[in-house]
Amino acid sequence: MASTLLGGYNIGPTSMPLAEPRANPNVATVLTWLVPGAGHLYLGQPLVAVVGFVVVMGLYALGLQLSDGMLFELLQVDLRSPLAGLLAPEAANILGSVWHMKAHGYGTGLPRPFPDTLQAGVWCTAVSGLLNACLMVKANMDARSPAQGALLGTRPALLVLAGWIVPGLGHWLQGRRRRAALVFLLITGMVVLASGLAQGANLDRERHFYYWAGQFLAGGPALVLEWIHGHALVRGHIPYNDAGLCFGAVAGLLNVLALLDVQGVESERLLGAAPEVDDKPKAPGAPTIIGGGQAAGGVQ
Amino acid sequence: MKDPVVHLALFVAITAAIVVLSGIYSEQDDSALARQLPRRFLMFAGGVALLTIAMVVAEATLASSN
Repeated sequence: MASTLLGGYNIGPTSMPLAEPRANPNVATVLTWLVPGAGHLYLGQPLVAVVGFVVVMGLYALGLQLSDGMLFELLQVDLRSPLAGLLAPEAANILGSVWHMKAHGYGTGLPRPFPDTLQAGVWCTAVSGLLNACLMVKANMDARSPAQGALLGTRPALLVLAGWIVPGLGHWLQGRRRRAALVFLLITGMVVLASGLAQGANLDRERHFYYWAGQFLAGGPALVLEWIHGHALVRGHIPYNDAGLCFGAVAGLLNVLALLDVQGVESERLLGAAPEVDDKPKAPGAPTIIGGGQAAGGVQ
Repeated sequence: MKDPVVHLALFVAITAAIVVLSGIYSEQDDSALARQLPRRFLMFAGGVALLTIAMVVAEATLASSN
Protein backbone atom coordinates (compact mmCIF):
# COMPACT_ATOMS: atom_id res chain seq x y z
CA MET A 1 0.00 0.00 0.00
CA ALA A 2 2.76 2.40 0.98
CA SER A 3 4.69 1.66 -2.19
CA THR A 4 1.60 2.47 -4.27
CA LEU A 5 1.12 5.80 -2.56
CA LEU A 6 4.77 6.66 -2.89
CA GLY A 7 4.95 6.44 -6.63
CA GLY A 8 5.38 2.76 -7.33
CA TYR A 9 8.70 2.18 -5.57
CA ASN A 10 9.29 -1.23 -4.12
CA ILE A 11 10.14 -0.38 -0.55
CA GLY A 12 10.84 -3.98 0.36
CA PRO A 13 10.43 -6.06 3.49
CA THR A 14 13.38 -4.49 5.33
CA SER A 15 11.85 -1.01 5.30
CA MET A 16 10.77 0.67 8.50
CA PRO A 17 6.99 0.68 9.07
CA LEU A 18 5.28 4.01 8.43
CA ALA A 19 4.03 5.86 11.49
CA GLU A 20 0.31 6.36 12.04
CA PRO A 21 -0.73 9.19 9.66
CA ARG A 22 -2.26 12.38 10.97
CA ALA A 23 -5.32 12.16 8.66
CA ASN A 24 -6.51 10.61 5.42
CA PRO A 25 -4.08 11.90 2.74
CA ASN A 26 -6.45 11.18 -0.13
CA VAL A 27 -9.20 13.28 1.43
CA ALA A 28 -6.77 16.14 2.10
CA THR A 29 -5.51 16.01 -1.48
CA VAL A 30 -8.94 15.89 -3.12
CA LEU A 31 -10.28 18.69 -0.91
CA THR A 32 -7.34 20.90 -1.93
CA TRP A 33 -7.95 20.06 -5.58
CA LEU A 34 -11.60 21.12 -5.25
CA VAL A 35 -11.01 24.23 -3.14
CA PRO A 36 -7.46 25.53 -2.58
CA GLY A 37 -6.72 25.43 1.14
CA ALA A 38 -9.66 23.16 2.02
CA GLY A 39 -7.34 20.21 2.64
CA HIS A 40 -5.45 22.19 5.25
CA LEU A 41 -8.68 23.29 6.86
CA TYR A 42 -9.48 19.57 7.14
CA LEU A 43 -6.02 19.05 8.69
CA GLY A 44 -6.64 21.79 11.28
CA GLN A 45 -4.22 24.30 9.73
CA PRO A 46 -6.45 27.35 9.12
CA LEU A 47 -3.56 29.77 8.55
CA VAL A 48 -2.03 27.61 5.79
CA ALA A 49 -5.53 27.16 4.36
CA VAL A 50 -6.20 30.91 4.19
CA VAL A 51 -2.75 31.75 2.77
CA GLY A 52 -3.04 28.94 0.19
CA PHE A 53 -6.53 30.04 -0.83
CA VAL A 54 -5.55 33.71 -1.14
CA VAL A 55 -2.39 33.02 -3.17
CA VAL A 56 -3.90 30.43 -5.55
CA MET A 57 -7.26 32.09 -6.08
CA GLY A 58 -5.74 35.57 -6.04
CA LEU A 59 -3.45 34.58 -8.91
CA TYR A 60 -6.41 33.08 -10.76
CA ALA A 61 -8.45 36.25 -10.24
CA LEU A 62 -5.54 38.35 -11.52
CA GLY A 63 -5.31 36.10 -14.56
CA LEU A 64 -9.02 36.46 -15.24
CA GLN A 65 -8.73 40.21 -14.95
CA LEU A 66 -5.73 40.46 -17.29
CA SER A 67 -7.19 38.09 -19.89
CA ASP A 68 -10.70 39.51 -19.55
CA GLY A 69 -11.84 35.92 -18.98
CA MET A 70 -11.16 35.03 -22.62
CA LEU A 71 -8.91 32.00 -22.03
CA PHE A 72 -11.40 29.40 -23.21
CA GLU A 73 -12.27 31.53 -26.23
CA LEU A 74 -8.83 30.53 -27.51
CA LEU A 75 -10.22 27.04 -28.07
CA GLN A 76 -11.42 26.22 -31.57
CA VAL A 77 -15.20 26.16 -31.75
CA ASP A 78 -15.41 22.44 -32.51
CA LEU A 79 -13.32 21.60 -29.43
CA ARG A 80 -15.54 23.48 -26.98
CA SER A 81 -17.51 21.44 -24.45
CA PRO A 82 -18.32 21.67 -20.73
CA LEU A 83 -15.32 19.44 -19.91
CA ALA A 84 -12.86 20.85 -22.46
CA GLY A 85 -11.05 22.84 -19.80
CA LEU A 86 -10.08 19.69 -17.90
CA LEU A 87 -7.06 19.21 -20.17
CA ALA A 88 -5.68 22.64 -19.30
CA PRO A 89 -3.30 23.36 -16.38
CA GLU A 90 -6.11 25.38 -14.78
CA ALA A 91 -7.88 22.07 -14.08
CA ALA A 92 -5.58 21.57 -11.10
CA ASN A 93 -7.64 24.31 -9.48
CA ILE A 94 -11.23 23.15 -9.80
CA LEU A 95 -12.80 26.09 -7.98
CA GLY A 96 -10.99 28.53 -10.26
CA SER A 97 -11.94 26.58 -13.40
CA VAL A 98 -15.61 26.33 -12.43
CA TRP A 99 -15.70 30.02 -11.50
CA HIS A 100 -14.08 30.84 -14.84
CA MET A 101 -16.53 28.74 -16.86
CA LYS A 102 -19.54 30.10 -14.94
CA ALA A 103 -18.46 33.73 -15.22
CA HIS A 104 -17.04 33.80 -18.74
CA GLY A 105 -17.36 30.38 -20.42
CA TYR A 106 -16.72 30.60 -24.15
CA GLY A 107 -17.81 34.23 -24.37
CA THR A 108 -20.99 35.73 -25.74
CA GLY A 109 -20.49 34.39 -29.24
CA LEU A 110 -19.98 37.91 -30.55
CA PRO A 111 -16.49 38.80 -31.78
CA ARG A 112 -14.44 41.11 -29.56
CA PRO A 113 -10.72 41.93 -29.46
CA PHE A 114 -8.37 40.08 -27.16
CA PRO A 115 -6.83 42.36 -24.53
CA ASP A 116 -3.13 43.29 -24.80
CA THR A 117 -2.51 41.54 -21.47
CA LEU A 118 -4.02 38.24 -22.61
CA GLN A 119 -0.73 36.30 -22.45
CA ALA A 120 0.10 37.51 -18.95
CA GLY A 121 -3.42 36.62 -17.90
CA VAL A 122 -3.37 33.05 -19.21
CA TRP A 123 0.07 32.51 -17.65
CA CYS A 124 -1.39 33.59 -14.29
CA THR A 125 -4.34 31.21 -14.48
CA ALA A 126 -2.09 28.32 -15.59
CA VAL A 127 0.46 28.99 -12.82
CA SER A 128 -2.42 29.16 -10.34
CA GLY A 129 -3.25 25.56 -11.28
CA LEU A 130 0.36 24.53 -10.85
CA LEU A 131 0.61 26.21 -7.44
CA ASN A 132 -2.52 24.39 -6.35
CA ALA A 133 -0.92 21.11 -7.43
CA CYS A 134 2.01 21.96 -5.13
CA LEU A 135 -0.48 22.76 -2.36
CA MET A 136 -2.01 19.33 -2.98
CA VAL A 137 1.44 17.75 -2.52
CA LYS A 138 1.82 19.62 0.76
CA ALA A 139 -1.65 18.62 1.97
CA ASN A 140 -0.97 14.98 1.08
CA MET A 141 2.35 14.92 2.93
CA ASP A 142 1.01 16.90 5.90
CA ALA A 143 -1.78 14.34 6.24
CA ARG A 144 0.73 11.45 6.09
CA SER A 145 2.98 13.04 8.71
CA PRO A 146 3.07 11.16 12.01
CA ALA A 147 0.15 12.01 14.29
CA GLN A 148 2.67 12.99 16.97
CA GLY A 149 5.39 14.89 15.13
CA ALA A 150 6.35 17.64 12.73
CA LEU A 151 4.41 18.35 9.54
CA LEU A 152 6.43 17.25 6.53
CA GLY A 153 4.67 18.73 3.52
CA THR A 154 6.53 21.97 2.82
CA ARG A 155 9.80 20.57 1.48
CA PRO A 156 8.32 18.08 -1.05
CA ALA A 157 5.97 20.78 -2.34
CA LEU A 158 8.82 23.27 -2.77
CA LEU A 159 10.99 20.67 -4.48
CA VAL A 160 8.20 19.95 -6.96
CA LEU A 161 7.81 23.67 -7.61
CA ALA A 162 11.59 24.00 -8.08
CA GLY A 163 11.57 21.06 -10.49
CA TRP A 164 8.89 22.77 -12.52
CA ILE A 165 10.64 26.16 -12.61
CA VAL A 166 13.94 24.57 -13.71
CA PRO A 167 13.67 20.91 -14.80
CA GLY A 168 16.07 18.90 -12.67
CA LEU A 169 16.36 21.49 -9.90
CA GLY A 170 14.26 19.33 -7.57
CA HIS A 171 16.70 16.43 -8.04
CA TRP A 172 19.66 18.80 -7.58
CA LEU A 173 18.31 20.09 -4.26
CA GLN A 174 17.84 16.48 -3.16
CA GLY A 175 21.53 15.87 -3.81
CA ARG A 176 20.88 13.69 -6.87
CA ARG A 177 23.14 15.72 -9.13
CA ARG A 178 23.60 13.30 -12.04
CA ARG A 179 19.87 12.81 -12.40
CA ALA A 180 19.38 16.55 -12.13
CA ALA A 181 21.76 17.14 -15.04
CA LEU A 182 20.13 14.40 -17.10
CA VAL A 183 16.61 15.71 -16.49
CA PHE A 184 17.65 19.29 -17.25
CA LEU A 185 19.42 18.35 -20.48
CA LEU A 186 16.64 16.09 -21.75
CA ILE A 187 13.67 18.32 -20.90
CA THR A 188 15.29 21.61 -21.90
CA GLY A 189 16.82 20.03 -24.99
CA MET A 190 13.44 18.69 -26.09
CA VAL A 191 11.73 22.05 -25.61
CA VAL A 192 14.47 23.85 -27.56
CA LEU A 193 14.36 21.20 -30.31
CA ALA A 194 10.56 21.45 -30.39
CA SER A 195 10.70 25.21 -30.82
CA GLY A 196 13.28 24.83 -33.58
CA LEU A 197 11.24 22.23 -35.43
CA ALA A 198 8.02 24.24 -35.16
CA GLN A 199 9.85 27.53 -35.79
CA GLY A 200 8.32 28.93 -32.61
CA ALA A 201 4.74 28.16 -33.64
CA ASN A 202 4.46 25.82 -30.66
CA LEU A 203 4.98 28.73 -28.25
CA ASP A 204 1.50 30.08 -28.59
CA ARG A 205 -1.52 29.16 -26.54
CA GLU A 206 -3.99 30.75 -28.93
CA ARG A 207 -2.58 28.69 -31.78
CA HIS A 208 -2.20 25.32 -30.04
CA PHE A 209 -4.28 25.33 -26.87
CA TYR A 210 -3.74 21.72 -25.79
CA TYR A 211 -0.16 21.27 -27.02
CA TRP A 212 0.69 24.43 -25.09
CA ALA A 213 -0.87 22.86 -21.99
CA GLY A 214 1.47 19.87 -22.28
CA GLN A 215 4.47 22.07 -22.97
CA PHE A 216 3.63 24.30 -19.97
CA LEU A 217 4.46 21.35 -17.72
CA ALA A 218 8.09 21.62 -18.89
CA GLY A 219 8.14 24.81 -16.84
CA GLY A 220 10.72 27.56 -17.05
CA PRO A 221 12.37 26.69 -20.38
CA ALA A 222 9.02 26.67 -22.19
CA LEU A 223 7.88 29.93 -20.65
CA VAL A 224 11.22 31.68 -21.23
CA LEU A 225 11.23 30.57 -24.88
CA GLU A 226 7.64 31.77 -25.24
CA TRP A 227 8.58 35.12 -23.73
CA ILE A 228 11.55 35.50 -26.06
CA HIS A 229 10.31 33.95 -29.27
CA GLY A 230 6.60 33.22 -28.90
CA HIS A 231 3.66 34.62 -30.87
CA ALA A 232 5.70 35.02 -34.05
CA LEU A 233 3.89 35.40 -37.35
CA VAL A 234 3.73 32.21 -39.40
CA ARG A 235 4.67 33.19 -42.93
CA GLY A 236 4.64 29.83 -44.66
CA HIS A 237 4.51 26.07 -44.39
CA ILE A 238 6.49 24.68 -41.44
CA PRO A 239 7.66 21.19 -42.50
CA TYR A 240 8.19 19.78 -39.00
CA ASN A 241 5.50 21.70 -37.15
CA ASP A 242 3.73 18.52 -36.00
CA ALA A 243 6.97 17.00 -34.73
CA GLY A 244 7.73 20.21 -32.84
CA LEU A 245 4.31 20.22 -31.18
CA CYS A 246 4.71 16.56 -30.24
CA PHE A 247 8.21 17.07 -28.80
CA GLY A 248 7.13 20.07 -26.72
CA ALA A 249 4.09 18.34 -25.24
CA VAL A 250 6.04 15.12 -24.55
CA ALA A 251 8.77 17.15 -22.81
CA GLY A 252 6.17 18.56 -20.45
CA LEU A 253 4.63 15.16 -19.73
CA LEU A 254 8.07 13.66 -19.08
CA ASN A 255 8.81 16.47 -16.66
CA VAL A 256 5.76 15.33 -14.71
CA LEU A 257 7.44 11.92 -14.35
CA ALA A 258 10.58 13.67 -13.08
CA LEU A 259 8.48 15.68 -10.59
CA LEU A 260 6.76 12.50 -9.38
CA ASP A 261 10.20 10.98 -8.87
CA VAL A 262 11.25 13.99 -6.78
CA GLN A 263 8.06 13.90 -4.72
CA GLY A 264 8.11 10.13 -4.21
CA VAL A 265 11.73 9.96 -3.10
CA GLU A 266 11.36 12.98 -0.81
CA SER A 267 8.22 11.52 0.76
CA GLU A 268 9.96 8.23 1.44
CA ARG A 269 13.00 9.97 2.92
CA LEU A 270 10.93 12.16 5.22
CA LEU A 271 8.71 9.32 6.39
CA GLY A 272 11.73 7.14 7.01
CA ALA A 273 10.47 4.43 4.71
CA ALA A 274 13.25 4.41 2.15
CA PRO A 275 17.00 4.59 2.03
CA GLU A 276 18.71 7.76 0.95
CA VAL A 277 20.47 7.52 -2.38
CA ASP A 278 23.86 9.12 -2.83
CA ASP A 279 25.14 9.56 -6.36
CA LYS A 280 28.57 10.93 -5.51
CA PRO A 281 31.37 8.94 -7.15
CA LYS A 282 32.46 5.94 -5.10
CA ALA A 283 35.07 3.27 -5.24
CA PRO A 284 34.33 0.46 -7.72
CA GLY A 285 32.04 -2.15 -6.23
CA ALA A 286 30.82 0.10 -3.44
CA PRO A 287 27.03 -0.02 -2.91
CA THR A 288 25.01 2.94 -4.16
CA ILE A 289 22.49 2.91 -1.32
CA ILE A 290 24.22 4.14 1.79
CA GLY A 291 21.91 4.78 4.66
CA GLY A 292 18.58 5.10 6.34
CA GLY A 293 15.90 7.74 5.97
CA GLN A 294 16.35 11.31 7.01
CA ALA A 295 14.98 12.37 10.39
CA ALA A 296 11.64 14.10 10.20
CA GLY A 297 12.31 16.66 12.89
CA GLY A 298 13.09 20.20 11.99
CA VAL A 299 11.09 20.17 8.81
CA GLN A 300 8.20 22.60 8.42
CA MET B 1 7.73 9.13 -46.73
CA LYS B 2 9.65 12.41 -46.85
CA ASP B 3 13.11 12.68 -45.30
CA PRO B 4 13.31 9.20 -43.75
CA VAL B 5 16.67 10.00 -42.16
CA VAL B 6 15.26 13.05 -40.38
CA HIS B 7 12.23 11.06 -39.23
CA LEU B 8 14.48 8.31 -37.92
CA ALA B 9 16.68 10.80 -36.09
CA LEU B 10 13.62 12.43 -34.51
CA PHE B 11 12.30 9.03 -33.49
CA VAL B 12 15.62 8.14 -31.83
CA ALA B 13 15.71 11.51 -30.04
CA ILE B 14 12.22 11.27 -28.59
CA THR B 15 12.67 7.58 -27.75
CA ALA B 16 15.87 8.36 -25.83
CA ALA B 17 14.09 11.01 -23.78
CA ILE B 18 11.06 8.80 -23.07
CA VAL B 19 13.14 5.75 -22.14
CA VAL B 20 15.62 7.60 -19.91
CA LEU B 21 13.04 9.70 -18.07
CA SER B 22 10.64 6.81 -17.51
CA GLY B 23 13.65 4.84 -16.24
CA ILE B 24 14.48 7.66 -13.83
CA TYR B 25 10.96 7.40 -12.46
CA SER B 26 10.95 3.66 -12.01
CA GLU B 27 14.55 2.97 -10.91
CA GLN B 28 16.22 4.79 -8.03
CA ASP B 29 19.65 3.24 -8.41
CA ASP B 30 21.70 5.02 -11.08
CA SER B 31 23.94 2.09 -11.95
CA ALA B 32 20.98 -0.30 -12.24
CA LEU B 33 19.27 2.25 -14.47
CA ALA B 34 22.34 2.51 -16.70
CA ARG B 35 22.41 -1.29 -17.05
CA GLN B 36 18.71 -1.44 -17.91
CA LEU B 37 18.72 1.32 -20.55
CA PRO B 38 19.64 -0.78 -23.63
CA ARG B 39 16.93 -3.33 -22.81
CA ARG B 40 14.38 -0.59 -22.14
CA PHE B 41 15.31 1.11 -25.41
CA LEU B 42 14.89 -2.14 -27.37
CA MET B 43 11.58 -2.90 -25.66
CA PHE B 44 10.24 0.55 -26.51
CA ALA B 45 11.47 0.44 -30.11
CA GLY B 46 10.10 -3.11 -30.51
CA GLY B 47 6.72 -2.07 -29.12
CA VAL B 48 6.55 0.89 -31.48
CA ALA B 49 7.53 -1.37 -34.41
CA LEU B 50 4.73 -3.82 -33.55
CA LEU B 51 2.24 -0.97 -33.30
CA THR B 52 3.41 0.38 -36.65
CA ILE B 53 3.01 -3.03 -38.29
CA ALA B 54 -0.49 -3.37 -36.83
CA MET B 55 -1.44 0.07 -38.13
CA VAL B 56 -0.06 -0.61 -41.61
CA VAL B 57 -1.89 -3.96 -41.77
CA ALA B 58 -5.13 -2.35 -40.57
CA GLU B 59 -4.72 0.45 -43.08
CA ALA B 60 -4.36 -2.08 -45.89
CA THR B 61 -7.22 -4.32 -44.76
CA LEU B 62 -9.93 -3.43 -42.23
CA ALA B 63 -9.44 0.33 -42.32
CA SER B 64 -8.76 0.57 -46.06
CA SER B 65 -10.64 3.35 -47.76
CA ASN B 66 -10.09 2.02 -51.28
